[in-house]
Amino acid sequence: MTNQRLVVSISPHIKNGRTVRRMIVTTIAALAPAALWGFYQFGLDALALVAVGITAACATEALITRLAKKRSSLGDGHAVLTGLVLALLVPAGVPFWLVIVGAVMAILVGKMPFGPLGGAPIYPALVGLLIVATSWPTEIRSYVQPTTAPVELKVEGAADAETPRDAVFIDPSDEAEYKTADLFLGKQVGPIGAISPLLLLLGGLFLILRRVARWQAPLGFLLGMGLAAGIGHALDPSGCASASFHLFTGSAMFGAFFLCTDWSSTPVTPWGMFLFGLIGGGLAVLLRIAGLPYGAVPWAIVIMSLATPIFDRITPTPFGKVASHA
Amino acid sequence: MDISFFRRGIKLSRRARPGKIEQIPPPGRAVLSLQQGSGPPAEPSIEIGETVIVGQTLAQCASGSGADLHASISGEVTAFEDLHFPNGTTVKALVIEGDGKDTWAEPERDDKPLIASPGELLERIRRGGVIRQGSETKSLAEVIGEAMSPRGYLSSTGSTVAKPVRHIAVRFADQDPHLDALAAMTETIGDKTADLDLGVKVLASITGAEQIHFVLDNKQETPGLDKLADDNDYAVLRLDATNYPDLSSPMVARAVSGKEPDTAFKRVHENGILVLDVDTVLETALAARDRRPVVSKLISVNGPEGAGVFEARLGTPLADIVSAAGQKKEIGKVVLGGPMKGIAHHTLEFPLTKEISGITLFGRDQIDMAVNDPCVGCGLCSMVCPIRLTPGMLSRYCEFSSWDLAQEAHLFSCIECGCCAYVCPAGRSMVQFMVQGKSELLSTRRSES
Ligand code: SF4
Ligand code: SF4
Repeated sequence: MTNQRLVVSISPHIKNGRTVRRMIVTTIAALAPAALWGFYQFGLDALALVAVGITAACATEALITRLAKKRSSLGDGHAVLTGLVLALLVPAGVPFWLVIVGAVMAILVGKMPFGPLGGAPIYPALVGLLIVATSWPTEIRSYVQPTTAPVELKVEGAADAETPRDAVFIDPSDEAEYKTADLFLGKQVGPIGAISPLLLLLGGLFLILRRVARWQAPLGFLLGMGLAAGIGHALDPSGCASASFHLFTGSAMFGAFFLCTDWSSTPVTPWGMFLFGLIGGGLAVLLRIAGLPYGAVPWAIVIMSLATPIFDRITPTPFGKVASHA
Repeated sequence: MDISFFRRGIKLSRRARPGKIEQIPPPGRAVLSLQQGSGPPAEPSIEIGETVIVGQTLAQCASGSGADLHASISGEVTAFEDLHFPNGTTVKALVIEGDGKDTWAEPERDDKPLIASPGELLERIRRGGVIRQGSETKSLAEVIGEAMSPRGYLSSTGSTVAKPVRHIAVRFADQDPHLDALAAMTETIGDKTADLDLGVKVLASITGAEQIHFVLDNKQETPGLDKLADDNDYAVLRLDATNYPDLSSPMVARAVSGKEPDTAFKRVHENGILVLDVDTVLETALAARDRRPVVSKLISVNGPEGAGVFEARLGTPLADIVSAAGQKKEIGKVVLGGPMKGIAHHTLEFPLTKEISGITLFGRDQIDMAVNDPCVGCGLCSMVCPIRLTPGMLSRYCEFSSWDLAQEAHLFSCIECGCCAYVCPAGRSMVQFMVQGKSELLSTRRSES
């Protein structure tokens, strides 16, 4: 047994086998039920949009890594996730080119300039989404009538001013037409992957139980939205919809569980995550009330992401130290 | 307020207990390192060519944190040899060629060691070469001697501040649940219960500790110990060793006192709590009563082909111990200690020293290579760090040489437990970053002062 070549490395010598790739695959799996529900509600167009989004994101990333002569990073699945999230956050009626531009922008502007995975200060898919949403504000609101929905869309054809906005009907009178249970079960108009609070909640809980995501930011976000909407509704019922309406529409659930739990763009400390979510949730409701036509939740989270380094300063008091400073 | 809620630390599996302790016969040739523990090497007190018997003093440390060294086999001292330690240092070692007789020195038995003065007892422990395992493995006499220095002594340099020991916690299981030398010793403690009691009383007499705690793994069945604890009013505390690192010194200290000790700068008995392993206590008893020095060691072996707990003389080649455990095939990695905190060594041609409590072997296919990708900021490490640090941040500070930021973020409180690296999906060598950061900061501090 002598003269063997032995490996030397620092402790610990065992790992729990977690890899970035596995965590991303778990995230995609957690999104799958909500995506499938979207396909059911919006048909093959939705499926095609998601496929296009993923392909465009992967192709862009492959091209850039090749041009930059870097090791291909497709294997970790992050490009797939980026394309998927982007496509799930647009309505099923948007033109294909819009999703392609969004996916290319997500990778080109949102991800690659910040080096390897973990550098992006803003969730890349949101960068892409908000670029296209701001550039083509009419096209982005191409909502489609879902297969099962209690309310008929009033106007045929997409991109009309009368089309319901986001699924956040800033006019609270729309609320009366919806039953909370229908909203919760996913019978509503909205972005492909964000219409089913129930499935997103289950997917989110799965992520938390698998310890891929932490509970602090989602809880904070939902609390923040609920509180802000609750207060707003109590003060002015005609100006602000109820808390449950805000929580179950638009991309609120999606944002809480899948955007607030991103790695590099959100804090890592327990209180940091919670406050990030809480303030972000309140901000999202404010943006909705202020009448942002599209993407209040994504905008709120992007704005919060810019403050992530501040929230990361709220570290717990280390073991055995006296809590003297914040 | 900590709102992590999930228990910090990580869950490890417990390995099946081997049950009995196997004796490894004295080797034909023993290589004894002059340095045992992290203190300075001892000064040889014999010449090449002298014949020695088991227990005879070979080298002494005048004072300080080094430990005395004694012959572990009888025979002739034939050479000084260079020993390459896993940390890269080279230390002189004495070589004894055995005569096969295994002659022991006559014990100088003192039937009433507790009548002796604390100073005398301390001297016996020092001369017995007893060490204390810990974040810094030092001579036990040095560790408890610190506690005897006058109260109220404050060091203006901010380094170790001596504090009286009020509690002694005796640990009956290793902090790494994959190692089970201590557990095997506890299972077979039977007639050594009296020694254990004596050891504890000697230590209490030296340090003036008021309360003794027995810290057990919750799976251990120990009727003898329970009775001993009952008769003497020792507190018994059961922790779950698979909740790593709940059995490490700082966590044990918290469990015992309800107060968290400061873990910065490797202070050994903060809050007046001294955590000792059961083997150290038994060695203390032998040194105090029989003036019998440490010449052998229990060691837990864990490999793909075999496992077991063995008692072997110091200086026995590790390769002998590993083959006694049934390991025949080629291996890819040798770790001195357990998988969480052990140190990898490049060879098995290394003798057993007092610091080694276990050998963990990995087959070529079992080696987990660190990929050391950039931090993805997932925050898993901050969730498991038992010290409530933000390891991902710390590792980035150290990676990009922002030493001051690292220090501000409490780098020195890190206990190098490895929980962060265990969960990191980017496969970062977290502990390496921490160790490197600390040594960098310490060396600049030294050069500034
Ligand atoms: S930072 Fe240090 S104390 Fe915290 S988990 Fe990592 S090694 Fe352990
Ligand atoms: S676990 Fe690894 S990748 Fe995740 S934050 Fe910590 S260091 Fe970064």
